[in-house]
Amino acid sequence: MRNKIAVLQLSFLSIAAISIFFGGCGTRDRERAAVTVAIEGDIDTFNPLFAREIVAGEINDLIFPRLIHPEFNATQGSLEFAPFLAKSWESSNGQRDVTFHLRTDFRWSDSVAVTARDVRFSFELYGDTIVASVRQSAVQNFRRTNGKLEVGKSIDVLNDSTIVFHFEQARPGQLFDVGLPIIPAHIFSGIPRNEIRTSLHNKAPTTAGPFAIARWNPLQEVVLSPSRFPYEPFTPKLSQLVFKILPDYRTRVEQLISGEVDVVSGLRLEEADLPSRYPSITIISTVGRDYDFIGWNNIDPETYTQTAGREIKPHPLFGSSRVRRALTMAINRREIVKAYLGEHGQEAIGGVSPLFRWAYNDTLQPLPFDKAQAASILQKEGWRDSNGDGILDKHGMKFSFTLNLASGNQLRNLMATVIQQQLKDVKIEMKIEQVERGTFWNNLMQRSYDAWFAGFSVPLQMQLDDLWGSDLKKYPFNLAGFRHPRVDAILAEVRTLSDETEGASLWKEFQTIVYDEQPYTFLFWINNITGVRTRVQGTHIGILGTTHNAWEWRVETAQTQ
Amino acid sequence: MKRSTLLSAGLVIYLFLFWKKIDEIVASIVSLCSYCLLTLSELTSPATYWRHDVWEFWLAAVVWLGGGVYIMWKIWQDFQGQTVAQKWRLRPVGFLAILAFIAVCAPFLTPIGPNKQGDLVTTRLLGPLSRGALVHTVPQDTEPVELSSLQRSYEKSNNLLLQQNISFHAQPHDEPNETSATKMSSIRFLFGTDDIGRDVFSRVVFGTRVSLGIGLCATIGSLLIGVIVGFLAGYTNRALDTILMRLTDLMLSIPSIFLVVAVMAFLGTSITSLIILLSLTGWMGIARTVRTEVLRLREKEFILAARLLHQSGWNILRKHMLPNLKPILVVAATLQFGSAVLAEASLSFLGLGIQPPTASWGNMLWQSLSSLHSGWWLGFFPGALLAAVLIALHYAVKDGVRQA
Amino acid sequence: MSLFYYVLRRILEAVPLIFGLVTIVFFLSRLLPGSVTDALLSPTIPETVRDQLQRQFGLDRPLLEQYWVWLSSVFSGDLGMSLARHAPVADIIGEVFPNTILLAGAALFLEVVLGISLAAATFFTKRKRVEMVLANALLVVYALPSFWVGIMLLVIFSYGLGLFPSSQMYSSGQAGSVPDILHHLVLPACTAAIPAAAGLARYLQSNVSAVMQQPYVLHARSMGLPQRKIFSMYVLPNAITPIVSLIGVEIGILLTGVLVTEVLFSWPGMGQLTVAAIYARDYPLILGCTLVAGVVVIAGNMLADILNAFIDPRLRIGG
Repeated sequence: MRNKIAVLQLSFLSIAAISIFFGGCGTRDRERAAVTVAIEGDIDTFNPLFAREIVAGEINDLIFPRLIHPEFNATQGSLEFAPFLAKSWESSNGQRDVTFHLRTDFRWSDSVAVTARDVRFSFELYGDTIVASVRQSAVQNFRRTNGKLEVGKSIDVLNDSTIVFHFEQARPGQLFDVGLPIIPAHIFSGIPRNEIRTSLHNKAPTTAGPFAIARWNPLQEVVLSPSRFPYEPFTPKLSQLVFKILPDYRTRVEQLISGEVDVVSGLRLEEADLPSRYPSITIISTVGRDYDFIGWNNIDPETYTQTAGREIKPHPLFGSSRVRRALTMAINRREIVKAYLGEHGQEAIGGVSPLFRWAYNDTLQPLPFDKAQAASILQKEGWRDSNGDGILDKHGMKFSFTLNLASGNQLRNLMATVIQQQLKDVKIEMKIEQVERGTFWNNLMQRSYDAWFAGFSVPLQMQLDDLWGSDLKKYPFNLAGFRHPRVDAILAEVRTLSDETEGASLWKEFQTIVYDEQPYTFLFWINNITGVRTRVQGTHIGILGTTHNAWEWRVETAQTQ
Repeated sequence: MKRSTLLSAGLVIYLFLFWKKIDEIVASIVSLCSYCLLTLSELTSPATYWRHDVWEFWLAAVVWLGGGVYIMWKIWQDFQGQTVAQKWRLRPVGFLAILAFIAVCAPFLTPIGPNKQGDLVTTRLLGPLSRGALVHTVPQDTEPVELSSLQRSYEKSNNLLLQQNISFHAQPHDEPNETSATKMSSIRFLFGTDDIGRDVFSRVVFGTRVSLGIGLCATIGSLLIGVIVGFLAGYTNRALDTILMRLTDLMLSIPSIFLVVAVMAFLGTSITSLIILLSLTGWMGIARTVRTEVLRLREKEFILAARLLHQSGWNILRKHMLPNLKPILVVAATLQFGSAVLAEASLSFLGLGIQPPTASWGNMLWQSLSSLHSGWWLGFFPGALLAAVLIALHYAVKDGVRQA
Repeated sequence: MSLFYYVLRRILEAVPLIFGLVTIVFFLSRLLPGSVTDALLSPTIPETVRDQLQRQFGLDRPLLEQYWVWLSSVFSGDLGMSLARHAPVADIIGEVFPNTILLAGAALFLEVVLGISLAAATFFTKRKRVEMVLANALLVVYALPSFWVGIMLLVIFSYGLGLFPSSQMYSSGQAGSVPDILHHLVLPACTAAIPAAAGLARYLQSNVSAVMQQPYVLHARSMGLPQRKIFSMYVLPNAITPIVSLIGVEIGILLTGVLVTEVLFSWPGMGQLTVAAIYARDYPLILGCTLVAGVVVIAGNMLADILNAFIDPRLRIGG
């Protein structure tokens, strides 16, 4: 008996001793004006040529200079640009040439001045196929020399502080394209182009933005500090900006509550009432650029794969727009939004975000949820339950399919289950299969799924060719294989307009066509819910991201003791 | 407690449920009989009338009636004074048997199908014992197809069984009126409702099937592979031993996450592939312990004697080794069973668990933790049952060994 | 056969094993749908860029040739370049692996200590009821999913009592401070160790009760030796033999990364790295992780076998 107690005591005492001993050591030695942002995953690279992760992009925007930086005009719903490295700019030649006048006080962290040559060099790299940058598409509209795209020749450096961009066509999005981060020419010109990808400079970059990298502990944190050279008005008011990597959702929320982190994006509806329990937290819920949808493959995947895309047949189940319409009507989107998103989401009618007020067609109402009408449409289309097994059929083929979704999204998983039940009510059998992410996107791009549940993020610019263009080879993101000549014409026409808001009526017509055709069942636009501790002031969290104006952030000293 | 008291209590519960579900039980029998008669009388292929979602009712009805007869038989025996020996020993086995019975008869034990969802807004996350109202849509004869009376009774009983288009609502929020197309009844959510308004009790009951089934199959799978590999390695020649043990090491050293992704990519996410995956990843520990044990055993006198008598390897394994391996295998099997059920839960984390909407204890447990707002009842009941099964299993097998 | 030759033989056997492992993983990973270029480039980027990148990575060459190139570079000590992280594989793994060793070491230590003391506790219990409760509790604890254990530990000790930090390896700005790291280590190590310790204790328990029936123990008892002495001198050494191989397996599992624990506590370990590599189809990194994991697992098993052979010389003959 004594022995037992001794053994137990020993083991428990040792644990208790460890906890007491180290409990006191965790001094939270945070600097006063430091702000911590929680992020989900690690940074892939500090080179804007290759950064794929959204957070890496946001950090790169803070540590590298850009000619101009975007600002979103919420009342108009359109993108505007503010000076950054460029003091001013003017366009000529029917808006096909744009001249930028650069500031001369920007310095790289090794004290070399940032000049127009860095700008041209950067865009040469963005366009170089050897470099294979992720942002390749930004230079596609640059002026071609003898029909060939040579970025170096479509940018003229007049002197250190003046640079002219020549575009092939005047397009509304061209300023957006030239807003990419600039990288130091004196560092990267000495490296062979095909080795830039693996250069050590991508981990410890030479920077020239408002912030500089203080340290990076992989899978732990990225710490930014104000850069050595202040550039008004972009001088940070924070002493540090920490990006803390926390893969687990619960941990992010708990650390926001405990004050270990100050900003957490992507909160769920359950956390929207945090301020009522914790007054030191505010919630910012902004209409996002993200929508969720059920994709119906409009084309027959087998024929498409077998003929390598030469032959296209309508999908046996989803080939008819009336059937797709019935499917949409059988899904109770309003209830889903009400139950899972509350006021932090809204039903979607198409792929144009309500953010872009000028282009959004608010005369269209979401299709009603009406099982009876859905059933009667399906019956008119020839789908009826002839053998009494509870599943519709037509010419011996059952209305049964598999909905694929990428694994790991709990909310989508639940919603898929709800939708499954609702479709069963109109005698449609839907199986659900989760697929590992890499496999999911690969199969989706090969158009081999019948139906899928996914989400999209629309670009900041109203450029939807990639998503809606009929050339399925050229536009792989037209996942549904939706082909419509009028939509192509509209997309081509808005591309030629120099002021994008002139295209408003065209965009509205586009939405009407999509609404009638229902290539997808659009479910909802989902808000980005961000929790911010009240001590952090001056944030402007919205569709441009979380930290896009981090140099304006400040810490309310009264609340930090 | 006396055995007869227990049995009588069982009989009371049985009769109560029988009375509650009499219509469905009758419908199942009618459906089964008319199916048999239809197939016999028309001599067409049975597939015309085969309904994949109805056969589980048939099975349940047969087992249900059989179970009742069995209980009554036992009580009669008790009254005859024939007390059955080893009643203590039978307890864990009895518990498992009841669970198996529940798993088969699930359709008659649940107030509503496990995947039927209520109104998302009003029936979501209701606590245990809260009330709801069921709205049945009365099936209407829309198809003016000529049916024989046999066919009609078949269809009618099937419709009753599947209770097409049930939706339900929580009581206090709205009380829809009965119309000609709908019929109302009341429901009590014993274990509450989940995130999408499904009855947790029904899901736990139906989840018994999936969890026990997967646990059983995966355990048998890994035991089979593990024992065979371990025996061959320990008993036969050294070359084979080396090869098999290196193979075991090889399997152990492939990162399991990699195997998961690979299996998902090639076999998909069906229950079969799940069982294959769990068997494939579970046998190595067993093989190693079995081999160590066999190496120890083969030097024993009785094995040497058997070998001298030129008994075949299979006989030696069956007659001499297995009885001695049993204690180890028992522990290994109980642990393996538990970890297989749990592994399925952890795999939900990567999306390779049981696919929705099918319920299993594992994925219910996982779901209860992954959403913050979830009530305690979501995870408590499947978790408690899982623990109970593991304990029962342990004692059941232990007693079995003692008897052997 | 002397122990030395036994060890030597095991090491020699390990070489073809590792070779087989990387071969399997190499071809399996190439068979997975999707390619690293999909992860690196947006699908809207022109085909020529993609082809160029494929060429640059050497992915356009025949599979066997790629295999050969990779194999020969590994034998010259170079694990290659990570395709998605743009850095040498050896460096990436080198940064992460020490963290995993730390966590695994702590977890293993806890597991063995807890496992043996729990088994001892049940052994020394005189009251049947306590023994039964303990045995059942062990079963239940073993049945707890590690994600559940982790979340409960977090809720109680971190969010509730605030005794331990909820995530990461060290407080911001305190990298390298030993007490700080140990403080962060407690909860993840417990998460990984508790269910495993219960399993270990269960195995030990059943072995102990088997050994208790052995004549030498009965003899010792009849001689009137104290319980403690019987346990430490006769029972434990004999009961522990199969356990050693179990621990060898355990070492491998822990060192290849405990994914759920790592995600829950934001612990930068091999599990997270491997998953990220698989998702990105970063072939060299997948292979690098597998290679390291394989070597570790095999070393762990080897250690277990050697220890077993050391304890029980009969095993050296057989295998």
